[in-house]
Amino acid sequence: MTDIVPNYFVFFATYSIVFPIVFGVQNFKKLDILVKSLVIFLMIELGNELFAFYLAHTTGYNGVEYACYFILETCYFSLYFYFLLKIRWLRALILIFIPSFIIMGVMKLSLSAPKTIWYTSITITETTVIVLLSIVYFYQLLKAQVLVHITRDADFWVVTGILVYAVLSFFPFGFWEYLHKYHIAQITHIDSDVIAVSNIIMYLFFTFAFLCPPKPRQLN
Amino acid sequence: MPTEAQAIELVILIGSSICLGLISLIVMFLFFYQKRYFQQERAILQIKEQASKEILKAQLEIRENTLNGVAREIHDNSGQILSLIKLNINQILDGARNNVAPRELLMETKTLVTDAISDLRNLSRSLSSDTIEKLGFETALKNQFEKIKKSGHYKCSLLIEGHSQRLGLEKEIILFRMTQEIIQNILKHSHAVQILTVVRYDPDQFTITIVDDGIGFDINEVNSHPSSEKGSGLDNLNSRAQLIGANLQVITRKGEGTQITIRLPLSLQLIP
Repeated sequence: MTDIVPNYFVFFATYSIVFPIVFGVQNFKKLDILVKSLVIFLMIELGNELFAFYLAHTTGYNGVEYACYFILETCYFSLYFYFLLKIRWLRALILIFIPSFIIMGVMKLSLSAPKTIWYTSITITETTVIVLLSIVYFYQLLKAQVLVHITRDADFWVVTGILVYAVLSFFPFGFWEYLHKYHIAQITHIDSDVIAVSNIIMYLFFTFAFLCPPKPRQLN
Repeated sequence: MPTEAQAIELVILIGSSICLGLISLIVMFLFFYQKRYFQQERAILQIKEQASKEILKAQLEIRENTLNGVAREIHDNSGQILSLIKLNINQILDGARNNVAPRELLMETKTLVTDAISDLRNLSRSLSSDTIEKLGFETALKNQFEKIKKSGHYKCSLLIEGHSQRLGLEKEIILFRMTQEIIQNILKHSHAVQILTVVRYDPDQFTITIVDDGIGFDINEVNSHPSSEKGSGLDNLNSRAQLIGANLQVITRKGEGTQITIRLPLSLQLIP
């Protein structure tokens, strides 16, 4: 995050968000309401990336801004799962989790910012929640009464994209505080590269979701 | 505290395990999902095949029914009229030999020929295989009731409520065959004198109710012997109703007549 060394791969990965946005806007009318919300969220994410870029160049530090965005992102993904999942108690848990996570994040930020470069607990919580919800979603899909072809299920590709991103981003950010104890110089570069790959994969899945034909509404 | 190299090694190990776990999860999910999806596709295909067979069977039964009716009609009506015409012509020929022109006989023969033509025209119309496709369920039903009325043994009433609409050919064929089957059973077994049929079109539902004043039957007895003639008849009606997403209700008691209702939700898709 603090690293502003020109890295064209990372730059491409960050702004490859434009591709799903373009396809999302193009097919906006055909998309389900939930997938439509993702298009809008990606636009917000693009705004965040531009703002982070501006902060990195002006103040040299954008860790807090990214952490705030991660909290927002986790809340949005949790809400996405809230509307996808049909298990009542799990939906109630998600509703409890969202404000708790915001409180936890704000406390963590206000207590340690700007001393800490990254907040591992935020990443660990985000990844754990998303992995668990994704597993439940996959189970729900497998047990569904009527199955649609996987290429027609935009939600599946969205969830897979979120899952891949959450798991891959755990790799750098989940160990951030642990590795920084060793002051390993290359960590920042490795982290940026891993997060770039996870971004590209996630945007690829989202693009695929936006290109999915609409799900059949009723099967008899 | 582990060394720097050990720390990196640990992170790589945990990270790789997590990534491997993720890939395994997605691959496993896709494997089981596709397996279930293909099972579902096979089941749908089977249902479709069964539906086409049922529709074909119903069409053949309707045709057989029509042909039986035509054969009866030719034997009972047209045949007799033509025999009368032949007799009249013989009498006219006899009169002609004696130079007598039996005017009344000629007029009667003319009327008989007109009747025969009209009967044959009706027969030809009922023989048309695409009656339901062209005229629709309602008109086909009206024609059916006209024939029963014509026999003079039954008092038939057909009431149509709501705005008529086409229900889709497959559904109409199955519904018509079901109605034909119910009416045939009434004529054969119920000893009924009156048959009342109400066809009702609601915005979300099509309902047809057939009521007779016959001897009725014990529904529990029929249900406990599904292999009996009545039992298999009801089973047949039920399976046909299910095929088009309709619901069949039978209300009857010994000595109190029978009421059979078929309810078809109009929002459902046609046979998958």
